[in-house]
Amino acid sequence: MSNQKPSFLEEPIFKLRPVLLVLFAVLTAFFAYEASKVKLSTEFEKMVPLQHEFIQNLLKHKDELSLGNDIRIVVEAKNGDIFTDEFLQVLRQVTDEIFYFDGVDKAKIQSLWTPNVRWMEVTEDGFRGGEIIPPTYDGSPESLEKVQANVLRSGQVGRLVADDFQSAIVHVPLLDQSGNNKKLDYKKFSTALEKDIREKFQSDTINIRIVGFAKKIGDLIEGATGVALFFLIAIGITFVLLLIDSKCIRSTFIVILCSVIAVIWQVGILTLLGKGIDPYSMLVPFLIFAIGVSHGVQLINEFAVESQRINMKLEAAKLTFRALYIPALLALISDAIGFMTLWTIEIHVIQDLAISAALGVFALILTNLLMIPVLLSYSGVSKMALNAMDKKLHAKHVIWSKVAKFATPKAATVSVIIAIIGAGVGLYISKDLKIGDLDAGAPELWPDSRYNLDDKFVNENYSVSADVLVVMVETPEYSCTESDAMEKMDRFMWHMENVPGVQSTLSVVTVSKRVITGFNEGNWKWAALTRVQDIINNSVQTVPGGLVNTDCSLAPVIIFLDDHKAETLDRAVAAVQEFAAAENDPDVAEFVLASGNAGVEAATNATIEHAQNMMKVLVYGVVSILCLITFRSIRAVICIIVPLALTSILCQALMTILGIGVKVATLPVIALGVGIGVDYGIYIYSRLKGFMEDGMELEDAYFETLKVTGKAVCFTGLTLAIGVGTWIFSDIKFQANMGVLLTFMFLWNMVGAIWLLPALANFLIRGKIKPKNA
Amino acid sequence: MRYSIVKKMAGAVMLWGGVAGIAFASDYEKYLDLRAALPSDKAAESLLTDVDVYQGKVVSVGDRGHILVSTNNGDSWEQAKVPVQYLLTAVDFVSEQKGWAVGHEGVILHSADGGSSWQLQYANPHRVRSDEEMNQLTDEQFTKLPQEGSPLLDVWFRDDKVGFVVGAYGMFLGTEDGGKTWNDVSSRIENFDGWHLNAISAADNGVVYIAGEKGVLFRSDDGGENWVTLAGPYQGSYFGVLTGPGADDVFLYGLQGNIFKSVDRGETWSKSKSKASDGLMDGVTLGGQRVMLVGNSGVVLTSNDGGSTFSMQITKSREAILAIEKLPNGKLIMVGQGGVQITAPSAK
Repeated sequence: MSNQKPSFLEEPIFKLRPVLLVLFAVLTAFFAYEASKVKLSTEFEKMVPLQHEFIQNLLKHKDELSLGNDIRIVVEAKNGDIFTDEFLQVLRQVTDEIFYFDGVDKAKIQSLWTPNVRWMEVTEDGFRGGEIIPPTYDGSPESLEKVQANVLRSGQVGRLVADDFQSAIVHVPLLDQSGNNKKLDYKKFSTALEKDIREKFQSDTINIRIVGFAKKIGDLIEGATGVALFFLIAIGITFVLLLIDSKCIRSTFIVILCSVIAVIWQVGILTLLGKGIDPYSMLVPFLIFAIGVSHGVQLINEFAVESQRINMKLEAAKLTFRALYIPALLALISDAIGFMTLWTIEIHVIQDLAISAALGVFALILTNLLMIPVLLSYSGVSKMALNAMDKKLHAKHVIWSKVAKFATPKAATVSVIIAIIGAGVGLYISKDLKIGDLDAGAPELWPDSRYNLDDKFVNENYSVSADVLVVMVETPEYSCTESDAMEKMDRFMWHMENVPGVQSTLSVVTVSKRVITGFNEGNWKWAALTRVQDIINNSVQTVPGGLVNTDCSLAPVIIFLDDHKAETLDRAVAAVQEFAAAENDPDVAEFVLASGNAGVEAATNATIEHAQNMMKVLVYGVVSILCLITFRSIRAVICIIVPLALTSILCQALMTILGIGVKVATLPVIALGVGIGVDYGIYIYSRLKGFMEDGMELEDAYFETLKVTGKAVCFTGLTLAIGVGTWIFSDIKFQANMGVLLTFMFLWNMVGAIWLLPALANFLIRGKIKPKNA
Repeated sequence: MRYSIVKKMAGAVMLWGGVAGIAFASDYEKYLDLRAALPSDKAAESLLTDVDVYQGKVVSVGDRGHILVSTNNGDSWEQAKVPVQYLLTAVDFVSEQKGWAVGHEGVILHSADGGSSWQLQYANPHRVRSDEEMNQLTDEQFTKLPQEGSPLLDVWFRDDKVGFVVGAYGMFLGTEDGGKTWNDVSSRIENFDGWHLNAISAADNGVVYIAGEKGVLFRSDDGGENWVTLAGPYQGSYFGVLTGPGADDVFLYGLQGNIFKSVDRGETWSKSKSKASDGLMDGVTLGGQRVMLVGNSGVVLTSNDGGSTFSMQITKSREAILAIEKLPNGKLIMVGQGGVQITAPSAK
């Protein structure tokens, strides 16, 4: 391996190594300073496909559709019902406490204690009403009975009071900007909720539950921050494994240090580019670190081998660089290009993931490929490591000699048959692979996370659904409550209510019908939309904000869904489009998709469904071309790519079995898995080819290959798996999903390279590679 | 005071009523939305306003032109073919085959095939008029303008020829030919302020009652030809009239849980006791001294003493119940805001 010619870079690099070291130290300090300023970003716009028609429509109406950024605090009586003085006092304290929070719309807070929540009844003389808890309330049984009666006639059962009367809600609308004109700090707000509401009021008799976008984002940030700890754990495990393998603390330290420096550079450059880190791109430091370590292992391995031969640190370092810079450069570039294919998916967080991963890989070229040999030229490796290497080179390699049998014709035939069956079964299972998220509740978090349990509680005990599709009804100015438009909306709502998966609908039409019923003494025989414009106008005078915009050119129809599974969304979206195609009339009303969490998810699903095949074609295309350029042989490409493809198929089958859908978080997995997984193939194939060119038969060449790189390949698979494997324990579900799938892909790609690649080689290149110069 | 003026005017108006009954309803097709009701699995779970049981057949009407027919005590429903999508408010069958349903925009529908399909007999839809057209209206037409597009609220047929329909703003229509022609018969009652007439109901002995807004109450002892005005017990709205269990017994119920009982054809009244405070919409007598009333917010009242005192239950959903009937199998069917509910009559 060391008979290569020195590269033109080698001489200047090692001559100027002190300068280089200083330069790197300065750069690292600079990037570390920048990286310290990194912001965690959870911006809504970044997680959605901005180019999608639905999202474009949504953004067009964003300012007019204040569809409620709010939180609900549920105060639950653990024993008995809410009609006790003790409970009502706690409810009052919670209401008072939240009043002083920064960023809440104080006047619009609603609870049984606030004067804006009233009971009302129709009497012979007209309407009569009052506050639910009257000023005369004194906690006596009589006044509690009065409260109970008021609750019943207030119509708040199912809204502010649970259907079973065991809990009540404090509904808190939020302002987009807090007191000092700054954007609401979700993290701070969420922490305050925990400290000043949940911790303070939760007791043996009282349970506090909190739901709402602000709380969800708060929990998400908290969970994401927790992942930082995993990074330290991954570093720790890797350090120990590396130490055991290399038996040299110096070189182990150098590899870890350089890989961490690559991460610092990556984050520093990101910050310089004005980008933050988000819960998705948080994966990148783990990947970069793991890739760095895996290449570092190859470097110290080679250095130890060279040091065996020449007892000069500088020369050994030069030879190491000379031997590895081409395959390592190729592997890193293919990683980066693999990542860049993710750029084609028009969702910001995925594109950011692509950029930051590619940046990290380029950082690695400098920090690892260059710096590790330079540092090794100073440090050398320990005596123990050299002894270990000596032993290794002269060992019998019992395991590898057995693994090498995979290249024999008999084993190869069996292997290929198994692979074909595996692919068939995998394809069959992944027929049922779903797009989108499949669990109930907030998809970012675990179904049994505190937030989702609270959310489930609210769904079960109150008449609200968390999954909402909003159709925007656009009309000419000042016409959104014109009889013709209302009539279309009314029919549209019934059309939607008949779609399986739709629970109910709500719009200005609902309000109009309710108010007309109220005008007519609560007689439901009047609960119809009238054609008389004056009556409509009267009935919509006090429509709640959000159901019509200020110039009455927009009236959303809110569609409550059973869940946010892709089929449910598809059916609902198709039904909207069907109605819109038949009924849209620019002079009366046009039905435009979409807002609400379900609308955003429908757009995201559509984008992902469209992108997933394209992305696979691209990533496989790119790595195939890279392999073709490197090895100039279609056979080589097949040997390297087929094991990867098998892993991709099995990964999809695994997703199906685990109930993980293709979504923003899991779509990048295949590109990352293939991009990094191709490294193994490249390393193994290039050595295999080399030994065959030296005149060896396939089996012998493969045995030699395993002796040299087998361990490094396994070690690479392991370090990569450890890096992403820690994510399985994340509080954030999609991070855990990514962790599981990437771990699987890295390990299986390794297995594929060691087991299937030689089997394919048996059929494709046995006897095809001629010795170069015998 | 108003009563005396009313009396003077009665004769004159009665004359007009007879001849000009549907004088300006003939152009209705121009303004009526003749989109047929859509079949829907959700019809039995969405707003239903009335239910009628005739021997083995159960027919319920409701929102968006839904008419549902069951021949198995409500276990399953067939949705009828209905030519309109308006909210229907009442239904009455006089035989296995013949029935009528009424609703918003003044529609009267008729079925001659046991409820499977319905034909439009009459409508009084809201008309969009220019200022010029408005000026051309007669005073009579002008006062009746609010009736256009408003709902008819109840229907009762004496036999398959003679029937009556009451509705909003004093609408009171009659037919003597099974609905081929409908006449304005509002002059037969003294309702000159045009209060909503919410219910029409007949006892077994041929006595008919009409009750409505602002405590208006009328009785006919001859099957609907001549009517007397009764001094009711209450100035609020009645939503329904229930006759029985005794031959001359009659209940009135309505706003704010008010229930009144008369044992002398409505001449004198006593207030029944109950805890209800929501509007009561319909009732049923169950034999013996048992009476049930239902209403808004899922209120179900039961009396075991002939209607003097009622005990209250509230359904879990708290959705308004608009009608209750006895099913052939002895169970009870209730319809309302949330569609059909079937329950066994609670044990005594």
